[in-house]
Amino acid sequence: MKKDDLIKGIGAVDDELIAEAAGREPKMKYKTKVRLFCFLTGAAAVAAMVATGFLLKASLGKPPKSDDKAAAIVTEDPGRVEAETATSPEEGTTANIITETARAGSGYEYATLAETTTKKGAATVTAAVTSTKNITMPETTVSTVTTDVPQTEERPFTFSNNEFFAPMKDFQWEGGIVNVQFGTAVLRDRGVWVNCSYEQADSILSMIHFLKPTDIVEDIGFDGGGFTVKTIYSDGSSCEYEFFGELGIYYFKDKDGTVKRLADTFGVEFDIVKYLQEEFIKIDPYITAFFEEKYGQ
Amino acid sequence: MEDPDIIDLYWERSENAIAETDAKYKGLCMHVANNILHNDSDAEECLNDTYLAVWNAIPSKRPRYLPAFICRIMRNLALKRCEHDNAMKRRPEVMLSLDELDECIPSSEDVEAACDAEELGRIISSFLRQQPKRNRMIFLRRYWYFDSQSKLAESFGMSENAVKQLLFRMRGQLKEYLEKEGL
Repeated sequence: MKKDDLIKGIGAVDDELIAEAAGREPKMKYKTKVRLFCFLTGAAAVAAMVATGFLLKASLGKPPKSDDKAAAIVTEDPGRVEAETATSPEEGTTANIITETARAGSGYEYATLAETTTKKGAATVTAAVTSTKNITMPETTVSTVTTDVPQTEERPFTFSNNEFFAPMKDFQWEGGIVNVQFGTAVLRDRGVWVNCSYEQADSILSMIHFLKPTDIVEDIGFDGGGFTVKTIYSDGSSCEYEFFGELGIYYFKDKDGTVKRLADTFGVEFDIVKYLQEEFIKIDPYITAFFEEKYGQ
Repeated sequence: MEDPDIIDLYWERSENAIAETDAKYKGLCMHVANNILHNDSDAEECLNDTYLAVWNAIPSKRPRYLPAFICRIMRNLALKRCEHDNAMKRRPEVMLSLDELDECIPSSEDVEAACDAEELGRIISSFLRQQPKRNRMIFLRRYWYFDSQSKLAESFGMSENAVKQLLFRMRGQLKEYLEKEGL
């Protein structure tokens, strides 16, 4: 069949149909109109109820799910964490303290304290979620998210060229605890000379730096959850400081046995505390667990 | 005046038959002509030729559906005028409508086989009678009266897209129907 045939065929359609097509367009029946009206009205009512429900739900607010929100904060801003971990990638140090307020005006504030550790290619991010709204919800929820970060190379020893440690280079005290010659570090742990890593040596020295320079460090001890520095003061008194950290805050146990924040006591700059925390984490990646176990926090 | 009365006037050879036809069907005829010619003066000429053709055809014929009878003559004259002027390509709506019909042509092996127009008209009419009234009206308004899709959408209270979809489905169904009929 050709197209012309079809055109002619349509042209030859019955007169009745041609006349019908020329007539008025069929109008909708009354019953159909009523049904359509009912349907549309019903649909509109349902839509209005659903919308109202959503609005009510939104206005009343919803407590954040602890794990989800904490994870979301990290997930929403992974660049932040990565940026922090990339500050000194060659050093392999990744400890961060991130405090930020999310969703301004929503009534919720998410204070994120994040710290990362350089366990072989992995970082642990701890986020604390708090609410400023007076509603029923957990006051503080902590969750841990583990994410992959590039594994960093072994940090070169920076004892002699780090400006912070530079004044410590020639620091001497009775017995001497650090010997960094021949590429190894040793220290005296409870009276016994033991090998230690450069990072451990750095950390110990940085702790000592916050003690009075004239004080004598008698001993250093590791107990798996931190370390102690026993000092003998010029007045003959002595004290054993115990250092440990949690969530980016560095603590120590004072002479009288009370736990104090290092920054509060020594007026230590934040960056230095942060740096120390990084070092501290290297000494013992399980410091948080130790702290929680020992002090119930 | 009712159609049978107008036809009677033709049979009586009364010149009032033309006047009554013009009063009642001029609008419809001009609509058809304008859809094809897109030119008022050409359409007017076609209209006059149509009245003359109707005057000559009645008697001896007594059409059952007078508007269809008149429109058919008007349509044929307008299409012939298009062909005569070789101006089909300047009538985009007609061309679009006719192009759409390509989809209805059955995929017969004997593409040269000629079909009798009357027989084909009967088959297509049969197909259209199986369709809902609104659907067949839209189909014929498009391919017989050459109404544009936007005009159809407006007339039938549908979206233009719905009209396109409806016509698309009907073309496919017509193709199947024609193939079933052995064409």
